[in-house]
Amino acid sequence: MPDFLQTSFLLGAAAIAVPILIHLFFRLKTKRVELGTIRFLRVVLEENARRRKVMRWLLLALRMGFVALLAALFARPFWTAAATGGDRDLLVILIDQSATMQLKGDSGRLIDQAVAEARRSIESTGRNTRCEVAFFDHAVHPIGADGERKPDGDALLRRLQAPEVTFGATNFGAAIAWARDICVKSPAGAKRLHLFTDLQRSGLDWTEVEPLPADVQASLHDLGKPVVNNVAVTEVRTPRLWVRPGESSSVRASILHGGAFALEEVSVVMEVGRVPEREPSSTQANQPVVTDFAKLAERITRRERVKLEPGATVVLDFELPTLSRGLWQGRVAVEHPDDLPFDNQRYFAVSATPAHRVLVVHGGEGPTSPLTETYFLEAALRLSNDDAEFTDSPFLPTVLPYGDGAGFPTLADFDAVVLANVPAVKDADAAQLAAFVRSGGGLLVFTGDKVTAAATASLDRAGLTVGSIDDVKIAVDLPWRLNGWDERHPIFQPLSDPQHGDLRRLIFAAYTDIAPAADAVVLAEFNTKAPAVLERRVGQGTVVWVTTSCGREWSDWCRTALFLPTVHQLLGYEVGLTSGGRVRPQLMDAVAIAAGEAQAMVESQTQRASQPVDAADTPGVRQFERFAEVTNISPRESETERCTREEFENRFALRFADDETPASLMAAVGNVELRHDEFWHWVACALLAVLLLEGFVGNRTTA
Amino acid sequence: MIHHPSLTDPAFFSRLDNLELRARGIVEGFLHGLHRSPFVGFSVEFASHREYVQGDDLRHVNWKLFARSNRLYVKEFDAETNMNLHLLVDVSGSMECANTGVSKLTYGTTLAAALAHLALKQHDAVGLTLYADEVLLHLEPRAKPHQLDEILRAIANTKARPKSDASRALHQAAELCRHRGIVAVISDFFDELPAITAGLDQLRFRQHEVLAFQIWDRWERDLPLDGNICFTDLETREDITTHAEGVRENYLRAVNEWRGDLQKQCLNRGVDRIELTTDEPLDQALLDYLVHRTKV
Repeated sequence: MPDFLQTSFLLGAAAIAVPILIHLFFRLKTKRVELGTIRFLRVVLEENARRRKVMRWLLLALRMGFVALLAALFARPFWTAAATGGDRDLLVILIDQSATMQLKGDSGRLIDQAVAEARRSIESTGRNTRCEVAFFDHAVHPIGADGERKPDGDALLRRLQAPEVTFGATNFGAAIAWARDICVKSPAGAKRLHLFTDLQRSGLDWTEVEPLPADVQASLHDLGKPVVNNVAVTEVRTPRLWVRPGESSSVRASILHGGAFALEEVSVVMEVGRVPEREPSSTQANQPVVTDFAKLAERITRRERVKLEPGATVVLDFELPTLSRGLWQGRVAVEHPDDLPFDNQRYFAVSATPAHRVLVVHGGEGPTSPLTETYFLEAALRLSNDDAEFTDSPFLPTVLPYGDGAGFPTLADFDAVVLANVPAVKDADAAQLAAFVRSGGGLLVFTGDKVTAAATASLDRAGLTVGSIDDVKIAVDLPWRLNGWDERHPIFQPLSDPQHGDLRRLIFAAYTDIAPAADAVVLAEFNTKAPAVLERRVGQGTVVWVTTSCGREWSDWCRTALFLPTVHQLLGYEVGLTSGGRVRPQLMDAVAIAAGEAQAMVESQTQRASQPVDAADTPGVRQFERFAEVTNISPRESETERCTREEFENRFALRFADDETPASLMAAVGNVELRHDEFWHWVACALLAVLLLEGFVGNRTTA
Repeated sequence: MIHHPSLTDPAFFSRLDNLELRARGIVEGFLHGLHRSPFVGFSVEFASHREYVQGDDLRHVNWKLFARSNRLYVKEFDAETNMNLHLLVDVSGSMECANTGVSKLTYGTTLAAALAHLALKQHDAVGLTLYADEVLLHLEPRAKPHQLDEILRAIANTKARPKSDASRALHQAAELCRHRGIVAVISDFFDELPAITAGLDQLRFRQHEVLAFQIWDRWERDLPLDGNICFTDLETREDITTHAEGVRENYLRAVNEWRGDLQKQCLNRGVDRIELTTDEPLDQALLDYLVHRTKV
């Protein structure tokens, strides 16, 4: 759609009436001549009457068009973008809402100043300018995102409010990438970018970003202060997040002094306490609980006084007492007034709980022997994995020979159940097992020669199978091998690293052929394309079937080095160890970055399914039913060192306009300078063409 | 028929004198410019001697002079003739066109007067017929000296008639011009071509030698005009407003085409067509007349 920059010149189009007036004037002003040869004249005029009529109208149209084009030429026409609903210009505003923007400036917080200037920029734009506004920290938060209709005009201004509290880290790359996408997708038109930030250097060190389009006019609004007095707890680490009840642990805290002068006798306080037992009926099972420190049991407070040199980091160790059973949460805080209070404390948690209890059921009889189906499985569960942070095994297996006729014990005392080549599970046991799984328990099934369709009928009725069980496939000449698996699944993710071994080296003499159910997911398969590992969600829990035996009947894989980590992954997935364990520390910026990648695997995880991805928007300890999540702000944000404007420009390959120019003035300048989407030269060409055509037609047109 | 003006009308006499003077001036000036009189011939009244050339009739040799000078001379005589000159003057409305200062009617009547004067000077009988849509006045050819006065009086009293009917008028004129002679039709011939040719046929049928003096106004022939012009027809008073420069090309093409057709029809009938514009002198017209006179 064409539009005009100098619309007042369009009033000149009223001069279209001039050709008409001239025509009428000369029609009235005629010279009278008497001739005797009018008949020749009449013949001539009658011959070309229609042609002359057309030519006359054409001539009038050309003359009126000439005037109209002349007016359009002076009005500076340009193309507007049809794809954006007629918007012609684009104004992108990026407002840094990282935690350091809470710094007090000359007129309130920096974030408040940024929002105020952004509002002025928006108010000074024309009505046809499309405004895209986003806050950013470690992620971008556009106003009007999440499927909402883009706000415009007053609605945008109403929604443009500075957040009360922010804890995010600065990531300029994400913001620039977002702005770049907006600019690239925007059709031709003036594109302006206003960046309101404090130029925190730590925000530069993120991923690579494509540069902005060349036609984007970027403006930097540097709101930061040259010197910031900040004392921060940049790290709190416990060597073990999960200890057995009665064991002790320690806490190591790092204190950073970002000010310009040394500080004496700065008080650093560590407090920790046990979180009271969660009352199942009080809250929903999948909702996190945040416990106030005042309500902690067995609270312990340790205080240290340290001397902080400018720019130095001091490390302090706090010994924890013997921890009784339960979740212990604590924090380390520095008691010193500074400019940025958001990073004056950091949280931690330690889980003092016993190992996961696993009921291992096999179809044999009698005590465990090397010939027992679960001999190697039990041994593997009692051993600790090499890369585990605890020395003991996370599992506490209890072996139950189902062939003795004994039924299942009370499954509420267990976290997971393993069925290894168990035939004909009683209906009562199957029902109890189904209830156990539905309430969130894990079930791992290994097949074997005893597992047939008839033998698993009770499990099938209880909804604990993953498909229809067919015959046993026995290798004749070459053994079966694992051919592929879901490398992104928590079970196989660490096993997909070649440094951790190659699952393809495992060989199997036989497997149980299972046709997967519609709601079952094949996690691994043999080279015959038959399923090797299947998963099916049942209520709050998960059922995982391995279609081969865990003993030595069908394979010798239980004697390989891959058996222990594989079994630990299978059971760890069932009890939630593969998603971070009982205590899951995380940084707010890391959560935001991983959110997109984690979304896919969240669907298949029991524990993650109950955890909102974006729950960690504030620092603290959140207690879920089977784990606790510790969220702290990024230590990057505590580094208040600023980068220069040139560094920023070089980092993102852009060039800022004069940053002293107010945003409103920048918007006004856009209407004066030559725009690249103007097409006045085409209008000039059309004008010339019309002029020539008018002369051509005029010389050949009679009245 | 045209009505006769009062003999006491000073304007009439003034106009008459002017016309006579103008006719005389034209004729005398024309004759004075000739090196040799083209109308000297053999007649009963001796004019001069000239040397004998082969082919001369021996009866005209002056033998007495030969006896005295031993050279052969032949005698020349002023021609004696009883030739009739019929002047047919168109006085229709289109002859009033006067865009260059002189109307075609004035120019034509002046030409008629000059021809009459020239003819009477050679003792030819001159008659006059004024016509428009019909014959308005007719004077029988006479060679009497006062015939010129009659002609001049009739011409001076002429006023244009708006309508024109060349076929009817020329037919009537042919009926009136009973004696064989030269018929000089002075007109713009702005009529339908068949009507004109029909009239000329009538004249030729009477064995007349026909001279067609076509009088043009320069603007009519060349249309040297620019701008928005309201053209008015002199006979129908019809108005046509147009840009002259826009129609000039086609107009000239139509006019020339018509002139060509008229010339072709005249040639087919042995009629000499002489084009004259009102801003040209009459010498050429008189010379053409004399050339044709020798043919009779």
